[in-house]
Amino acid sequence: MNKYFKLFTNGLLKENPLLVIMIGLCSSLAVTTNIWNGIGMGLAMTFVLLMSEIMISGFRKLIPNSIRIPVFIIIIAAFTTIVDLVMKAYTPALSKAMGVFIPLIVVNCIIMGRVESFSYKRTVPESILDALGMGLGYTWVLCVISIIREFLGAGSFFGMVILPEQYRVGFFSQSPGGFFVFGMLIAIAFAVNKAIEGRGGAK
Amino acid sequence: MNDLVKIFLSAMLIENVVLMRFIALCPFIGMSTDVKKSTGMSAAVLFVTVLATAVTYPLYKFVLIPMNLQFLQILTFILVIAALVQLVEFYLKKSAPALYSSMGVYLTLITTNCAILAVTFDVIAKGYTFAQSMTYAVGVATGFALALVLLAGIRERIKVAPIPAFLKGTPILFVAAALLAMSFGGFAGLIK
Amino acid sequence: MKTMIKLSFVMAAYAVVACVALAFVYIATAPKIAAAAQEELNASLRVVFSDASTFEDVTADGVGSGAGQIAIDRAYLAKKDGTTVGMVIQATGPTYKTSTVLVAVGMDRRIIGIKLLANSDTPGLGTKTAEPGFAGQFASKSVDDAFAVKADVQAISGATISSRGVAAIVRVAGRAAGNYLAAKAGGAVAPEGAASGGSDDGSTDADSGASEDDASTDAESGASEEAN
Repeated sequence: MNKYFKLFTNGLLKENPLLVIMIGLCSSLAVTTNIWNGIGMGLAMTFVLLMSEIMISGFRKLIPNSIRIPVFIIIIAAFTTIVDLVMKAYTPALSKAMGVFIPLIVVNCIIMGRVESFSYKRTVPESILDALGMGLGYTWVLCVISIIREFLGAGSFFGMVILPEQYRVGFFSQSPGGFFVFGMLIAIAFAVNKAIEGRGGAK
Repeated sequence: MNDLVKIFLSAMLIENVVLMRFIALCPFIGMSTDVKKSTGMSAAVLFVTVLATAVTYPLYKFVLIPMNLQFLQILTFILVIAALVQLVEFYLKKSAPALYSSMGVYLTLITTNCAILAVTFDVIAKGYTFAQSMTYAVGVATGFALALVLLAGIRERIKVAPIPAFLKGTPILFVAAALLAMSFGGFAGLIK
Repeated sequence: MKTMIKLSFVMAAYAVVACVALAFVYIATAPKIAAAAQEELNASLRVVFSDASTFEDVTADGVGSGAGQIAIDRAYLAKKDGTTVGMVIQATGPTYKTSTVLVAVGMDRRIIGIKLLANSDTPGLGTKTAEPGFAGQFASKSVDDAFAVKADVQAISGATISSRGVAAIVRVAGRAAGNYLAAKAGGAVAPEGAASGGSDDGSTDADSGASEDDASTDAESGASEEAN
């Protein structure tokens, strides 16, 4: 049981895909100008990651090694398309706001990376936990970035305007702000990880 | 001709794919360690982008649309890109083995380069003609190269600069990228 | 060679399964996606025509292609509970640069409202045509009026060309709508002596004197006939 718990929490902080391993950056900064977009992207990515890891782990005996990359691509692309179609049908406004970044989930390095290095070699339950952990780790970082950027840049929280116009800093809603906030978060994550390790704790 | 120039400049500077649209960040951070590697990577990306657009555009217009198979766009486009990258790898291995070995795994990683897939999708979404699509592809790849080489140059300086411990490593890179992005924001009024 | 063929088959098998699965999802979601697109269109058109519930695209049904440099992009029949209550036309034409305007016309050949969709004129001057101060004056205007600046259209000071251009676009679109409605949906017919859908592209000042008086009296009698 402990082993499964560790698998899950791994993706949340210690091996957080965005802050530590630093993959899958593409979609993360572009959509985080407001919180709904951030959550939407996080959940969409988690869905594709989860389904892909389950499929590939489940079929790992049936995927020949030499053509595994194209097969991975086919499976990931299929689930990305499913997410794209479902979002166009049930959340058209969100789908439009995210634009090309939903199809770009298919080249999200996190999914390719985890599928290749983890679920191709592990069992289905382990893959499920890994996917959920990584997906959640991705989503919470996106949420933090979006909350900061939406609050400072547009003065709102989940669309409810809080800050009056004079206190907003447009910098954060635009591209340079995204880079900046992300850089600061990485620095904080480094410091936190170091502190955890320094305390001698393998949590 | 005029609108081709507009498309090129807009793709390369005003809507720079990395600095303004946040696309292709992984190689941006991962491959910009020195200027030489950056130029090599950029050349490969330019080649694959142009080729990919040249193949996927007619594929969409003459196969997917007539057969009402637009929902297969994601699947077919990425497979085309993967196949093209394989071809490029094959060709490089044979004709320029030194370059091939110096690029290593990053050559395969071009498949997951968000910029290439983004370009193939953009030209369809924007309704460009074939010539406009090619111009757009070259513009985007040049913009990518520009951003990459600029950051590589900055990185070489950062190596010998006194950086506060809090920001050492990747964080300072992102701050540098933020500053670069701000300067590229200045191109906004370039084209009326 | 044999392994390569076998591998190709395996890959093809995965690809086929993926495509079939996607086809199922596509068929399942297609109606919803189409409905969402239609709703978005309705919402954007309801901005000018708040009374209608749905809009039917009739662009290809002989609305005409505009006049001179003013092009009709799209035309929609506005419907409420199944009956036609008017029409919305999207037209693009030259102003200081170019503008795209949505024009809503009622069954009585009167403009319900207009909305500037795109305007590349001088910010603060030409772009003022989008503001209610200018755009609002077209409401309740008969499409058979002259649409001449300084006569029946108030221009924006410092932006005469933009004002003239927008007025011309509204005139062409309005008349095309009025004529289509009269021909195909039982709308009011054009009064005698009114100009025929506009063959000029913006400089109506010369004609405005004569036709304006004729048009306004005829429109009134025309409307009252239809009401009976």
